[in-house]
Amino acid sequence: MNYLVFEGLDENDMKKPEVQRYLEAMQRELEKDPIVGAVTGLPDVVKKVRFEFFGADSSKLALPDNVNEIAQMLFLYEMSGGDPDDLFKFVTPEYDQVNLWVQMRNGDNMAVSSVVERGNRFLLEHAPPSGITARWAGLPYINIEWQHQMVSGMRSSLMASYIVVFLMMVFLFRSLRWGLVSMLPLTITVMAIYAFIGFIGKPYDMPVAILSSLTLGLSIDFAIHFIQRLRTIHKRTSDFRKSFDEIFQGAGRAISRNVLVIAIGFVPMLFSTLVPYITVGAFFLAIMVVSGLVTMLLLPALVRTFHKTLLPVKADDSETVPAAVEHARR
Amino acid sequence: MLNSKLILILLLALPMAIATTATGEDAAAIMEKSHLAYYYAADDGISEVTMRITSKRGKERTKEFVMLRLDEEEGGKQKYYTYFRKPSDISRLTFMVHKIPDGNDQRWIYVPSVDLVKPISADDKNSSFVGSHFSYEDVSGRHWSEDKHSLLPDSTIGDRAVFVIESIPVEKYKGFSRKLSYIDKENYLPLREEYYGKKDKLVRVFTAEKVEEIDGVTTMTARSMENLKKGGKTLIEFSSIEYNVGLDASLFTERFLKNPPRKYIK
Repeated sequence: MNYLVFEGLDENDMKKPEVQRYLEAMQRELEKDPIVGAVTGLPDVVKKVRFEFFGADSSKLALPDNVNEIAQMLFLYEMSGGDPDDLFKFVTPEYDQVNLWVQMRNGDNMAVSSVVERGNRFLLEHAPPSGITARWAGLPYINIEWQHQMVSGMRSSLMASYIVVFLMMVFLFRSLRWGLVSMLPLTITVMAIYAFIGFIGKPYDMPVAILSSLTLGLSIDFAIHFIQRLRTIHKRTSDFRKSFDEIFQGAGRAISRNVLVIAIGFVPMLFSTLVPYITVGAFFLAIMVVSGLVTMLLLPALVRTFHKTLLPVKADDSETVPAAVEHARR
Repeated sequence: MLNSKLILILLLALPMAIATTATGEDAAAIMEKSHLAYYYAADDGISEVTMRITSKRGKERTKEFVMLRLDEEEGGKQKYYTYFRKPSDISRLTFMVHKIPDGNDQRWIYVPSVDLVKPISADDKNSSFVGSHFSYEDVSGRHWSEDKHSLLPDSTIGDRAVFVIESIPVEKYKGFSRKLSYIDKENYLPLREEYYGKKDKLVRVFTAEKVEEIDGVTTMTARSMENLKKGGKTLIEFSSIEYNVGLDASLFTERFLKNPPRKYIK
C-alpha cells in the first residue's frame, strides 16, 4: 500500500471544501493509472456518511460545499458507533493531515514509480489549496527511493573505481599507453553487458550494479597478468613474435583455464528459480567469457599492430615491473 | 505452645472466612450503590461539560457541550440531552439518548448544517463517545447485574478508604475481561477503575480527578480515562452543575433537538 499524505498548516484544514475537492480530484487522477486498483480517503467517508444520512439517496453521494456540513458528517461518523480508529486511518484526530490510500495491483518498482510520477505531475499542474503540501509514503515508495539512491550511488562509485583503476595501471606500468591497453578488457566487458541488458530491457537494479563493480576487478586481473608477462618475456627475447609464442604457452593457457573454470562454475546458478541468482550466474559467465576473449584476442592483436610503440626493441627502455604488479597478477 | 499458635491462626482466619462467604452479595450491593451514586445523583441535572481529548501524538482538542439528564426511575431508564457549543464547526448540533438498561438505547442526532434530525445506531455501547476515550457505556453506565462481582481486600486511594471490587462479565464482553473498581467507602463514587483486556493486560484506567459537594450531592466534577493500549487520554470537566431543576420529560423529544430549550441552554 502506498500513501499520499497531505499536510495542512492548521487543525481542521482537511475539512475545508476546497481541500476535500482537491483530494477527490487527486484520487480520480491516480485511479486513471491501470495499475491502481482504488484510491480511498477522507472524501469517501464524508460522501458515504452523507449518503447514509439522507436515507441512501445517491444524489447525496457527493461532497458538500460548506465546511460545517463536512465537519458534521465526520462528527456523525464518530457518533454513530463507527470505530473512530477506522476514521483515523485516513486523517489525524486534529484533521491537519490526511492519507490517501493508493492500492496497486502490482508492487514492482517501475509500476510504483509511474504512479508516483502521475501524482507529482498532477500536483505540479494543479497546485493544492494554499497551505497544503503533499508527500508520498509507504513501503513500496520507500523501496523505489532506496533503490534509486543505492543504484545511483553504485553507478557513481563504479565510475570513480574505473578512474582509480586506470590511474593505478598507468602508475604500475609507468606508461600511459599500457594503461589504456590494460583497461580494454574491462571496458569492453562492462559495455557489452550493459548493451545486452539495455537490449533485452532489463532494468539497472541492485544485482547489476554490484556485478558491474566485480567486473572491474575480474577483468583487470587478466589484463595485468597478460601484459606483465608479455613485457617480462619481451625484455628477454626483444622480438614480439617470439614473445607471443611464449606467452600463449604460459600465461595464455592459465588465463583460458581460469575463464573456463569460473564460467562453468557459475552455470548451475542459471537453473535457479530465483531471478537474482540467475542474473548473478549469467553475469559471471558473461564477464569471464567476454573479458577472457578480449584479453586473449584483442590485446595480442593490438600489441601486434602497435608493437613498435608498445614493445620497443631497445631493451633499456622497458623497465622492470614493480613487485606490486607481480603480486597482483597472482 | 503448638495449641496457642493454632488458635491464633484460627482467630486470624475466622474473619477472612466470614468475609469470603459474604463477598458475593456484598460486592454486588456495593456496585449497585456506587452505580446509583455516580449515574443517578438527584432526579435530574444540568451541567456545562468540557472535554479535553489528548491524542497519542500528544495533541489536544476540546469539545464543549451542555448536558441535561433526567432519571425516570432510580437505577433504570434515563434521558440525556446534549447541546454542542464547540468546536465551532459542530456548534448547535444536538444529541439525545434514551437509556434503556434492559434493552437497546435509542439515540437521535440533529445536524444543523442540513437541518435534519435522524435516529442513529446504538448497537455498540462500547464505541467511543463523541470521539473521546470514554465509551457510551462509560458515560451512561453499565448495569451492575451484567457482571459478577467479588470483594478484594480493602485499600486506599490518596487519603480515601476504598472497597476494591473485581467484576467479571457474565457474558463474554469485548469492553473488558476483568475490571477492578476502587469505590470510596463514604460516598460510593468510583475513584479509580482498571479495565483489563486480552491476556489480562491493563487496557484503560479511569480516574476521579476531582470530587466536590454540589447542592448537597457529592459530585465528581472531573474525571479522566486513559487508554494504555492505544495511547491517549480524555479529561472531562463539569461546571455550572445544577440538580433537581425540574426538567420535563417533553424536553427529551425530537422537537427539542431542533429547538433547544432556551430556558436551560443559553
